[in-house]
Amino acid sequence: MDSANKQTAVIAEVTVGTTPATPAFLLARDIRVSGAPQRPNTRSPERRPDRQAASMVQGVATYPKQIEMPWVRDAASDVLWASLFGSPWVSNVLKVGSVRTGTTFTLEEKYEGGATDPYRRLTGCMVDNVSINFQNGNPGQINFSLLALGETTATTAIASSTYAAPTPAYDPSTPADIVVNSLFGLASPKVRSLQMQISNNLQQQYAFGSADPFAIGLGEFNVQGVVEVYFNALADYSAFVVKQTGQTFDITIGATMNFKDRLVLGNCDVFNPNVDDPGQTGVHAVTLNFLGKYYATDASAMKLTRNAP
Amino acid sequence: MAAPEIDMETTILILQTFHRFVSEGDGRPERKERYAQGQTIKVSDEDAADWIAKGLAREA
Repeated sequence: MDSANKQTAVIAEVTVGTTPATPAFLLARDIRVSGAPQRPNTRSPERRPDRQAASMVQGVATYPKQIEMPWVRDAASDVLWASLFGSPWVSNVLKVGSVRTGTTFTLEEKYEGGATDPYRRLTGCMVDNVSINFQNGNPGQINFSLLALGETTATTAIASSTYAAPTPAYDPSTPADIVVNSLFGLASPKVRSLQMQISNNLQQQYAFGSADPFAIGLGEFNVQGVVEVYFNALADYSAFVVKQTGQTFDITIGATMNFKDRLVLGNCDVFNPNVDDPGQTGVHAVTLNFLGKYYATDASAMKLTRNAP
Repeated sequence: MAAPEIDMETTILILQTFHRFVSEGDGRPERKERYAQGQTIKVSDEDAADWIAKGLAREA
């Protein structure tokens, strides 16, 4: 089966763990979906006079997946973002919450099998963590790592299911499409790269009667990252030798008016700066570590606005 | 004698490009049907109601 023909689609669930009937799937603009369900079985620990294996015991199952995407603005990625934030979109804004209903989703992977196409469907998916990476010259990359409650397989589409094409279908965003509105108070910073990790620290919950998790628990929400700016003045480094608090991180991503994403962390701690030395050929850059803390004004450590001007 | 079955149809305007897979039965491969944004077509009342509810189409 040719991987180019694979189709990845998502749909938000109304009931956690249940794919809606006659689902209106949203096609994802993914690079690939990696990760594998784990259904461990281990050799039985019992003693036997022949010293050899005679049986196995079943462990608990986990359903981790990773969806790799370029930074795009579309309906499918909106489902993933809402799951990461644990909150539905409200007036095109996402803030950190602890809502499951409407933020879990089903992930369907369809393989092109010619006569018969295999389908794998993960239900009750929640985004565990996201890594964001922007390097000049390349499209921004987002890796959504998720956990699911279970997996089903099929050889046909769900009755009356539809698959909406990604919309809008603008080009993926690159760092050239990023406007740095505010970066920790630095004057006209020239940013070289940005890496962020956002995590929900999910925990799978198991109970007697099933090897599958019956629920997924939300843990601490953590957003942190490293930004690299060209070393222009001592203050780029020295200002953060002592950890700075209450700093703002505010960027707008995208090239199309009213279809941009704006990511704001209004209360960052910025710490542990470093100046690199690339050797004889190169330029110096300062790396700054930051942690997004609860921001009372937004009632959220991080805020994502879609369809921004 | 039973009355002939009448296919009720609704004319709709496709608002968003989408596709679906239609089973041909008997182990035959599913057929992919594509619908392009801006297309005006006649479909069964059932499909029309489903697609309108999903925001994929509206009555033309």
